[in-house]
Amino acid sequence: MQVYQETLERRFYEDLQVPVHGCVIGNIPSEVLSKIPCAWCNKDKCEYLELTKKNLCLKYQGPGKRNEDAAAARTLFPVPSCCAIFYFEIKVVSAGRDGFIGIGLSAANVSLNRLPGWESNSLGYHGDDGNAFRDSGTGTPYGPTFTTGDVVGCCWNLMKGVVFFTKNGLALPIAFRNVAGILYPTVGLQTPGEIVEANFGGQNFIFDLLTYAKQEKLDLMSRIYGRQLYLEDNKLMNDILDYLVHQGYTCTAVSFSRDTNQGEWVNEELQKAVSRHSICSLISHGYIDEAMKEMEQVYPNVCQNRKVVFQLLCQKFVELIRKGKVDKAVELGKTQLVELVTCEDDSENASYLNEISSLLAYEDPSNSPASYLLDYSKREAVAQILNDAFLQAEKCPRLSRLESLVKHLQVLLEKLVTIQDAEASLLSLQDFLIR
Amino acid sequence: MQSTTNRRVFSKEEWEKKLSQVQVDRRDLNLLVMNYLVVEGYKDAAEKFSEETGLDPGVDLKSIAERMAIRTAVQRGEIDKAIELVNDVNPLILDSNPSLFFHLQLQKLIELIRQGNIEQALKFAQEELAPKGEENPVFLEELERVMALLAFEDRATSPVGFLLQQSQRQKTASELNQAILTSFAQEKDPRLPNLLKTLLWAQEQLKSKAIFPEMDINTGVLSDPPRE
Repeated sequence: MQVYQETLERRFYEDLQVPVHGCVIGNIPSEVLSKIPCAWCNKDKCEYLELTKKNLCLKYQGPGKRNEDAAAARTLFPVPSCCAIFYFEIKVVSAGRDGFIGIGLSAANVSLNRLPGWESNSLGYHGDDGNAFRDSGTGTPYGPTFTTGDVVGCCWNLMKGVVFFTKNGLALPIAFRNVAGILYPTVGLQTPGEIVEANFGGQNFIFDLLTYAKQEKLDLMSRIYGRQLYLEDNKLMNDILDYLVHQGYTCTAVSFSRDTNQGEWVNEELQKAVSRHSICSLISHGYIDEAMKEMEQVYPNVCQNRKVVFQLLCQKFVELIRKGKVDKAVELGKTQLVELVTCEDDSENASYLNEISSLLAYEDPSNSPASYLLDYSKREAVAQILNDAFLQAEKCPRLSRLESLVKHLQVLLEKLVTIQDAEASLLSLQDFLIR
Repeated sequence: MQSTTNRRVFSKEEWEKKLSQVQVDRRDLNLLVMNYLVVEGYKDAAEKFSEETGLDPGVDLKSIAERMAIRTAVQRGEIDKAIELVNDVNPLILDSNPSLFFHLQLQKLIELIRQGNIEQALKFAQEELAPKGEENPVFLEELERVMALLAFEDRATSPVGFLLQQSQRQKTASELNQAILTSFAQEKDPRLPNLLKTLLWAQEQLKSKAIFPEMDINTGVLSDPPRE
């Protein structure tokens, strides 16, 4: 049993998805994605530093005599506040004369003549003594020293507000807690010959960031999934049934309602669903005339809806062209469609009519720039418009409860990320859809 | 009362507009539904759903049938039959899970008491269950609770009367169902409840920083956000 349990957990673990964008972990908005740290900024660096290798490599060229000769560099963009985890590494290419090298984070206003950690609003891990510094020139013993050839990383877990460092792929303990604010990846050098090269995710990290991130995500999920859930009796069952009926999966709905003893309600609702879906399925197969005929019988009110009728006739026009019945298409366009456009005075409709009319210009429309209009997805779109109109006519909610819940969750997660909830950026709807 | 200053406000109209812009793939919803049907063991429905959606149930539907037969047996109080069926599927399930096996035997004891087979119940308890209780204090406590049923004239209304309710059978059946799923290296919890938990969590998180229409997860209806 133990073995099976482990197999199950391993499979779940492997399927677990973590959004990685270079040095940033989390589902962050695309406008933020274009502003993540990826190199040192040639303006926000001390003059003693020489910048090479696509702004990743820093070499100390100052006097290197006093503390004030220290030289720091920051990235152009700060760590995005809405991400879950941030990580970058430096390789010590050369420890130079004394190896006074610091890696960490600092705010934009921190002096560039200091190693990270010495000043307020900065923190860092220093190679010569292995000490951790925060807002002070006095460090506390933290980790091993580091020197030429070592790869050192800085990890900020924004969900927990903690920072720890790594050395040659191994995680060191947590160095700082309650870390918050707008901070930039920072590195500081102090003596001649010191050279470090940064990696902001352009290459694979030495530290196994993905495994760490997965573990953090599991942590978060077990916290959320461990909650108590108070639901009305049969809530899930009803939601499932509501969905099946709403989407017209009639056979499944009948079978499910039999197993759960909810037959009566279902029969009535299913009748409606069956007729909705038989019409929509005609459209999906391109039988527009047949669909309209059935619609006149079952939903006479919807036939008065000019917007819906226009969409249907446009699709009919497209289907005629697909079959090569250009004459009939032209006839349809000239009479009914033009009429609908003029009396509605709807610019959107008018431009769509122009769009589909362009199909007439080509000898082989399926190999023309307008061929996208012939795509079957257009049929589905019209079927969806119709389905919505039918639901409205029956005064049914447009969405099933399940769909409403899922959409609401989607919007919640999006909004949480915009207000910089680091945890939410690790979650997505896909978590519930793996495999 | 929480201060509403500095909290962003999303009106219902704004929120609904946002909702209408979100695209949810029909296939994704279908996956959630299929997962529910399979894990909860609705074999026929899962089969039909697979036909209607073209979705692969992801498991051998025969295994659902086996699980359901076992679940039904427990729910009817036919514990010996259930044990036999589980062992047909995989004898390791009970062998490697003493606590589950003990709970099944306890359920059998409850069924004997329910039937008024007191003599047989006592014999079964002494021979099969008491030795296990001696080894394990948790088992002993559970056994004593069931034995307490015998002390009451009107067992159903006694303090331990809940043991005779259908929900007790359900509990045992669920435990067994989960163990069988685990033995298939299959998920044992449907995902839908976790999705709802995540939704509630997300609402709480957002509530601390914004005012927005919350959804009642039972009805799926959006509330009007409180006025500033």
